[in-house]
Amino acid sequence: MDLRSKLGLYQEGIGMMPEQKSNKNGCDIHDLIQGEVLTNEQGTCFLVEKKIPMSTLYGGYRLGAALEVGSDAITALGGVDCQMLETTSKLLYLDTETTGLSGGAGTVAFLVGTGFFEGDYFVIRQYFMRDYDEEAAMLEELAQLFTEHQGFVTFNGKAFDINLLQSRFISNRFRPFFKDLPNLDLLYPSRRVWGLKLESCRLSSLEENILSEYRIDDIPGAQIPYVYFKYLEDRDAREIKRVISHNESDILSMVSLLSKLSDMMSNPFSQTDGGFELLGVGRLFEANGRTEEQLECLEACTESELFTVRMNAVKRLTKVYKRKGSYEQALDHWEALDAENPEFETFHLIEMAKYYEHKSKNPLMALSIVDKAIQNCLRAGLSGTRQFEELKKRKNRLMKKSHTSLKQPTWKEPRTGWEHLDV
Amino acid sequence: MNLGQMLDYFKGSEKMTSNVTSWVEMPAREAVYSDFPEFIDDRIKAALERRGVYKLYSHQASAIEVVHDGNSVVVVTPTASGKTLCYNVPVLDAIIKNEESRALFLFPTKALSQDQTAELHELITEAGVDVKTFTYDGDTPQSARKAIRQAGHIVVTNPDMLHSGILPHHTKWTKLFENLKYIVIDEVHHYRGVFGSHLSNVLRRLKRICAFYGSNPQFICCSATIANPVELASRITDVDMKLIDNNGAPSCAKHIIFYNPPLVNKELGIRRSSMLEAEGIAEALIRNKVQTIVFTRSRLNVEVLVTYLKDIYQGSQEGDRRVRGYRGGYLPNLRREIEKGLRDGSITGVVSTNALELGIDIGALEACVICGYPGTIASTWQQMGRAGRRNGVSAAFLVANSSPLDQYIINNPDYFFGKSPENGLINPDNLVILYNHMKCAAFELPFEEGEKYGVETTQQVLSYMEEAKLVRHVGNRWHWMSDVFPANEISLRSASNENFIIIDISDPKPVVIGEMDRFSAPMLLHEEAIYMHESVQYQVEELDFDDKKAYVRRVNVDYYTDANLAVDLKVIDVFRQDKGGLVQRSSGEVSVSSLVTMFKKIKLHTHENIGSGPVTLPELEMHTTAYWVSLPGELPGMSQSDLQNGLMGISNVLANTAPIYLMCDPKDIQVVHQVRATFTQLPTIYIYDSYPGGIGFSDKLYELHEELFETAEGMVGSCGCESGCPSCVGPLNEFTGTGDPKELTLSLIRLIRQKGA
Repeated sequence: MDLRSKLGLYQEGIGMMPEQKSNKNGCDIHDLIQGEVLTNEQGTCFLVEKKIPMSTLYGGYRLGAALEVGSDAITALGGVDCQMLETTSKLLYLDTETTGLSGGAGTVAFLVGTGFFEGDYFVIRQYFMRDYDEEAAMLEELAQLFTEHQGFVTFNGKAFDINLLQSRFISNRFRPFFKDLPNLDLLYPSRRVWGLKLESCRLSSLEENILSEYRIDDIPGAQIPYVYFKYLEDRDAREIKRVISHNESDILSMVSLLSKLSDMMSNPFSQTDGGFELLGVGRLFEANGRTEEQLECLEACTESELFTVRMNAVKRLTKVYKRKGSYEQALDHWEALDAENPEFETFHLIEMAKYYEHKSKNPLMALSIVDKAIQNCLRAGLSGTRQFEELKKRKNRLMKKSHTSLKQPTWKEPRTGWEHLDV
Repeated sequence: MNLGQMLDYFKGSEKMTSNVTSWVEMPAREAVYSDFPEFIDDRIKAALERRGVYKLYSHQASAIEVVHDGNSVVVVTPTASGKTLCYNVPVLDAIIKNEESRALFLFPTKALSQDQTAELHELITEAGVDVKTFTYDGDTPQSARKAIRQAGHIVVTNPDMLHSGILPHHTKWTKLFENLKYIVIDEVHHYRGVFGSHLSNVLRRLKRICAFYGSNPQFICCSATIANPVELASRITDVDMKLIDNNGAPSCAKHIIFYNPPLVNKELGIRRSSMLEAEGIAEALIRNKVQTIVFTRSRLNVEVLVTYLKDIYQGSQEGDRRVRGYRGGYLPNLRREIEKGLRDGSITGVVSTNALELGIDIGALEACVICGYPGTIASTWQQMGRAGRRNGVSAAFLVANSSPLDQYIINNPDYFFGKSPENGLINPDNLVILYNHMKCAAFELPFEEGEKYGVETTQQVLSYMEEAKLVRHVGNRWHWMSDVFPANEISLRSASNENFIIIDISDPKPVVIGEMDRFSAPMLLHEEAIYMHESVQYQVEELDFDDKKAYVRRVNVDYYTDANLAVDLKVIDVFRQDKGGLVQRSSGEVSVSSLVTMFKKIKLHTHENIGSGPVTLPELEMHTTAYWVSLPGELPGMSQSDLQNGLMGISNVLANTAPIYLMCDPKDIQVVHQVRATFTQLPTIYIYDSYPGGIGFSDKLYELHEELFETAEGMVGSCGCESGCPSCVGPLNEFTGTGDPKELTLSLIRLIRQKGA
């Protein structure tokens, strides 16, 4: 029995598809997509280049607005490794399309989209490998482009795109010199700002919900590897064209998103929704240690119509006030929350109980607040949780304290309705 | 009484001696020392001296020198002979001399990795050198991984992690692969059969990656005593190995005592329980404060024996402290505590599965009681090696159970003491395993045109892979072309990647409790089957054959289930054949189709049949390698029914004889017989590997034909029963007709030996 038949027996389940090289007329990449073949020492690859005037509007912003992002905002959005950047003008926008999402040495970026400002234009350069043997040439081109820039703007590039390119460079025996360049990864600030507001912080979600850009006939990300494999088989570039335009949209979205985030930080009261977004901007300031601006945003959030926003703002605000020793300010906020009498919330009650127990040394007051917290816990169905157990402990301790502070047992257990429970 | 006095007492005790089939006294061995080789860094020498090592044993010095000369080695010495130094010293020395050097240590289990890392840390701290050692396995926190990849000089891991966590991400490990100088593989004998065949392929991939980064590491392997350590290590690593076996470690005088529990029913060949007998011996030892380890084969037996032995002590607290169990499934902290208790003597008795057979440091104990033959000579020596201090005497008792293998070993001590132990066999070119690892290799680095991966037919396999749309041939390379991460689909511990998962649905939240290969699933996971896991009984409620899932629920019943398997076997290809007269032996490739038709419920202890039920599952087909023996079609004086019985007897005997030579588990091979085989038209006995593609067992048996049947004849001939028992030809109720099963079996074996000669 020959090897092929044996392998066939062992590998049941792998469907052998009949060869199909249908290459329909007019579906060749060169017929469908305007681009040029680049040639260098490593061979050839395919380049699609587009120049878009900087004044073009995308996602509510001129593309050129991204050039006006100041160094403060760059640091705030990009974190420490972007500290030394003064402007965004020498940053390269980067997004890859790959043969898989699992990472590892066998995942290849077959399309690397880049964007940068040049003269009055935003230039989009998309490098495409028409087959695996064009990878080295593509990386050679990229290496050149990277040396001309100071760093990257990406969306999840820290965890994915840059790692992957690094792996591709190594696999092709190139030095991955770019891995420590600053990378302004927009995913992290976006999560801070919109994490509470949106179900998903994926770029496509931000695009629709925040930038109000709607793509027509966009290709779902999960299909992209198969599109490429199929293209390699039949050379029909129609779907590849969709991938290229998907990648282009991703890059443009990053440009607007950067402008949007920067704008929100400069003008938090006019450029946010005054609720979740304002809270989120407060979190950005918090992460960067810009406490004054953080407090301003959060104080404004306590006026929000949304309880969750008010609640979160108070949580974060009072954390700062406690740290600064401004307990009275914190207490005002907790009491304001309490005045609304939220039936399922315990956080402010626990904070108040701590305050009365340790700061104002009023165990009786603390005790009555703990009782209220315990009731809220039970209402929220949280009996038996750690939080609940801790409240019980606190209550016991307070009961002892209040006995000793009063010398005589005047304390009578309030009828909270939980005594009959097994606690 | 101390151990010496106790042994004298045992020798004089009729109760003991009447059951002892062999009592061998091995003399004490003096240590053979060598000086530290000149080139070793003074700080290492000083550190060792501070730990009481002023000279090396001869084998340690040899290993260090041979490695220093640039060779790959396999060190074969008994348990507790200080083999760790054989690799720790050269590796540390190399890193001290060149800070860029890197080493990779492979241990079969996580527990061993931790143990060895701790020991290395001590030595490094003592030497005051900056050598960073880390374990990198599934438990390593994500946050620590980056630093380990960048800065770890010595990375301690296991084959599974290397396979799925390191090699596929080699671009993150450039420092390691560019500078990899040594690969240490401890417990090489552990990597045999399927596991070894996988490891060999993982190392093929590792070497491809090393070549890419320009390194060419040396291998330092350690093995327990097996028949073919050099061959096994060379096959696993695919490099030439120098053997280091000049053991210089001292040992005390050792008594090895073979104990066969008395017969309670001579006709049926039933003996007293080996567990109770072992318990009796262990109890006597522990009562006399002799530090003792008891080995038993199942986790359940560990728990039972511990319970019995604790009763030696009055007051449960002392019993709990003095007698401990040790097995897989215990948490690492508990294990560390027990290991420490054994070293410092606060624990007098420990009952263990073979978990303590590996090189975990528990110091040396005085006595060892092995309950049931561990299955291989190599394992038995490993376990016996746990007893043996530098001074005084030690003792090891082997207590046999009623199984044919145990009975053969216990009654043929010459075989045990005289024969070299078993062969460690692997088949790295098993097509299923090879193909799966070639997928991983293609993922890791494109294959070059003309590149050879293990087999000459590499390019053909790649063409096949291209048709399966897994790789793309372009330019001079084959590129991985799939979004699948192939390493995740392969488990190194099983041959087929189509495993069934077992899901416990007793609680509201279902839990996956295990997996089982595709070919065993119909036998053991059919609906209503009782499945045992960690000594808990589960009943299979649903077997979803298409999705490969079995749903089970905890039960507590007094029976187990046994499925009837109808096997049909077709020969596809003959590799080798020997027509030595009337009897033919052959080896080749076969297609085995198996169908489970029904199952029986069998009551525990009494083994009564208390019910049965049908099983409707599809027939499974497996291609594997086999060895078969065909008898003449006409045998004078033998009726069809006699022939049938004789073949059945031979099958039962061979199923127990073959593992003696193969260092495999009895379930790794299967024996079937056909009164009139479709292929030969003759009465035929087949032995085939239980793994798709074969692991090399049946091929080896073809070569061992003579020995195999010689042992089989001995096993049946010397059995004390009248006309057959479970210890030789199998339980009598399996046979039909009037002929004496034992006689019939023996006459067929003699025929095979006579004609085959």
